[in-house]
Amino acid sequence: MTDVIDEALKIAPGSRLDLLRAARPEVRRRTQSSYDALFDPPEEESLALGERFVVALRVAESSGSPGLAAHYRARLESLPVGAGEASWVAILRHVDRVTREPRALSAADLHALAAAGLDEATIVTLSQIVSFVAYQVRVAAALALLGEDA
Amino acid sequence: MSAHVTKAGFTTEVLDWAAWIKPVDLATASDEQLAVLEESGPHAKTSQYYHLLLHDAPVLRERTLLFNAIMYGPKGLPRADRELGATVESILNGCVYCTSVHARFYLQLAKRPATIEALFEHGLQAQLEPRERAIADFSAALARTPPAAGKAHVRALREAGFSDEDIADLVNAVAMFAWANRLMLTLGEPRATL
Repeated sequence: MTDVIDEALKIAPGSRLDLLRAARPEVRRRTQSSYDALFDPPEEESLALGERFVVALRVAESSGSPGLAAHYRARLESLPVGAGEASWVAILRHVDRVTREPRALSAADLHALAAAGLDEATIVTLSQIVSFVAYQVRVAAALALLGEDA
Repeated sequence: MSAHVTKAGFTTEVLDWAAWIKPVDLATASDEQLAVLEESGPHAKTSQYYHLLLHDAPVLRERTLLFNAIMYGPKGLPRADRELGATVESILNGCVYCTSVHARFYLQLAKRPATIEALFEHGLQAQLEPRERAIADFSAALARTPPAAGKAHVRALREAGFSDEDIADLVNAVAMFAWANRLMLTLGEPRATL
């Protein structure tokens, strides 16, 4: 089974970080299944897969996580090229603000996304991607830190 | 039940939360959405937050399972310490709703209202005992964007007696609240309960 955190941090089976993660099997399993639900969705009702990777890449990059950024870039580049439909300026501005200053958001920001053509389900999925990658970059950053000075 | 703490815009009283966009209407929800709502626990039934997140039911299902594994998983870091990490981060991110819930849990578990009062009023400048200090500083640093936790934070936690397994539990709690704070702060706002 692929595990994105293990892959991004190059965690080898039997290594100290592998054993540390193995102490919480349910956390490890659900971290990956949350990823799967967002990035291998059963059906793409709202955000297209390419749009999901662009958003995740943006969060990983602005959160200083080169390993996860490389992962999302590779998945993005593996997709066939297609024209973006949604308003990328509106979406990426929102993504950056949720990443960096979530307390500054207001109802008007969601109404702006709606005006750019995003329905409620798309806004929720977008928010879940940004927030999940915010989770993921912190797990990755802290594991890297714990792995440094055994 | 211990007395509540209310100070500097934060409270441990029970708050409500209102969504800024339309939640899923349960009358027209799919079978999968209703099943996920059922799995999410009794409090989800009447919560606009859960009804809103039902727009992406498969993701809500996984998130709830992960949340429970991180915050309620057996052994390891005491639950009160996980709640303290979540509370410190929620205060610094300005998430009044998340703070109300998790500061309340911390009070129930640790029975240390002075700690909560100091954190509400002074944030990271609060006077804390060494163990709480190590948790608060590490949680605050990991909460920043980009995350800024460093070796000195880990050293302080180890010196306060935490094992690496304990620290990993705290990491998971803080990472989970980077997620939870963002949903709560950017999809709606707290309201006083009626």
